[in-house]
Amino acid sequence: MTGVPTLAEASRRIAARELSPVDLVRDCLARIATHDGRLNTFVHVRAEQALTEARTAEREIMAGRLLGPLHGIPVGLKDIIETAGLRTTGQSRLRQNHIPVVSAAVHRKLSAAGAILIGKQTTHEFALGGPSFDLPWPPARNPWNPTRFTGGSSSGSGAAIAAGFCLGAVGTDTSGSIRLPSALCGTTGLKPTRGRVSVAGIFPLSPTQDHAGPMAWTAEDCALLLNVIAGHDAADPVSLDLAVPDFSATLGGDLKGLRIGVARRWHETDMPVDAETAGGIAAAIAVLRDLGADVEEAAVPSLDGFQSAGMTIALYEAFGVYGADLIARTGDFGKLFRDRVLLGGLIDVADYEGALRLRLECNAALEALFARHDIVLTATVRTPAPPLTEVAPYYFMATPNTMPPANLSGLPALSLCCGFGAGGLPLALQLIGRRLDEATVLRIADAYERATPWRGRRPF
Amino acid sequence: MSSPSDEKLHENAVAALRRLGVRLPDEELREIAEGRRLLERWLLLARARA
Repeated sequence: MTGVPTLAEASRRIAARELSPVDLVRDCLARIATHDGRLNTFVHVRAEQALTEARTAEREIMAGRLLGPLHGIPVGLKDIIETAGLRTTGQSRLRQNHIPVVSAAVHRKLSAAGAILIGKQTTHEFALGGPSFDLPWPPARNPWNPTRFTGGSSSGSGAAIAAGFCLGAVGTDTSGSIRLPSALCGTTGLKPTRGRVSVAGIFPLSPTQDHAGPMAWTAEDCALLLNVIAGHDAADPVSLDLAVPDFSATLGGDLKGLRIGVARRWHETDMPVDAETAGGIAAAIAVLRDLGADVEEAAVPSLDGFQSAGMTIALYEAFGVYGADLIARTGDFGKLFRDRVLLGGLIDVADYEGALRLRLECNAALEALFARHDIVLTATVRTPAPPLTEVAPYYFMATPNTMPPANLSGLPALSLCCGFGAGGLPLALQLIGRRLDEATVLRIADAYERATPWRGRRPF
Repeated sequence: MSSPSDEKLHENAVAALRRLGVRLPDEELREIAEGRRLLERWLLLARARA
């Protein structure tokens, strides 16, 4: 596939009047028409509306009324994000005719910035039950190899970005659901600091761990999206009432003086990665050293505590959200969501309270690392994308994984592509930053992406 | 599932699901009970802090 610009490239060319938003949207729709029949990345495509909005954007821009870097940019939204007047299903029979009256804050912000919503993107049922074949919509497939898992639950968003169906998206992340599809689809995804981006108007899953954040082809693209979707929202009780920095302003330099701590224990012992992933991470560390970063090993705590606290809290809270519907309308849910969330109904409140205490311990140990390191680097996932049909119902219980620490602590964490395996599937690593320091996370990811060839490779 | 403690976990989970009012065939309840058995490893760590 050629000719898919990054979000940042498209933005610059639109501002310079070298690229028409109409042509850009038309190209995305043409790719969707050609390829999405086998990838299933959208629950709903707004083809006509998107083209109409693109024509309006073009007129405004040509009249000198450019709203900002997202004006005329085609984006997607995970289909648990409410969109006024546009069906928001949660990939579930329970909401298959649900038309919200009010949009989520992230949708309102994107619209106000002139972004063009190209469609609502495939997810796992209510962001947990997937990949499922018993829902009204099929699961997304990986554009690098459609027999492979996209990861989830922001599965359609990760796959659509890789396939060039849109230039950015907003996903959500309760236990890794932005970072996992970003990793398996070879894209870049940032789970920001908890409270940085409002989750008001987004279907909840585990209300103390839910986050929303940007997904795109590059870290520079994610910075542009975060600039728009971040900020205080009184409708979200955990939203932070803080000024939003310009996350693009610190990109583009070297990494001299930055201290990167490698959480070797996590990806070598607690969640041992395969040889290809280990090789990708080792090569990436060498690149970061060449860019000027000081790299040393980080003395991280065991992942077991994070896994225990994260899973216990997530399942208990998910049952709190969906338990009544699960019992009253059991047959309307997909089997994976039903079986996973009913487990939450079997967790004693004493165990939940124990998990809350364990979370405090784990978070304190994690935050202490940032006295010595600016960033903690580890794997995002154990392996490249597995076959879609071989994802076990309880795969997330088999071994601890490296993503829940950032959900429990609320620290920012980003997944980016660090090469490709022998089968042509993307490899990934994860960067975890200090609270509210998305800027450093994005700066390192951007420097790495500029220094390596991986952003020049698309699935088709 | 093999040990007596695993079997007990299964029985308890199936009974608890029925008490919650979940109306599913026994076979499907047992599949959920297997998930509860896998979860036990992680719950033990949380329980130690309770």
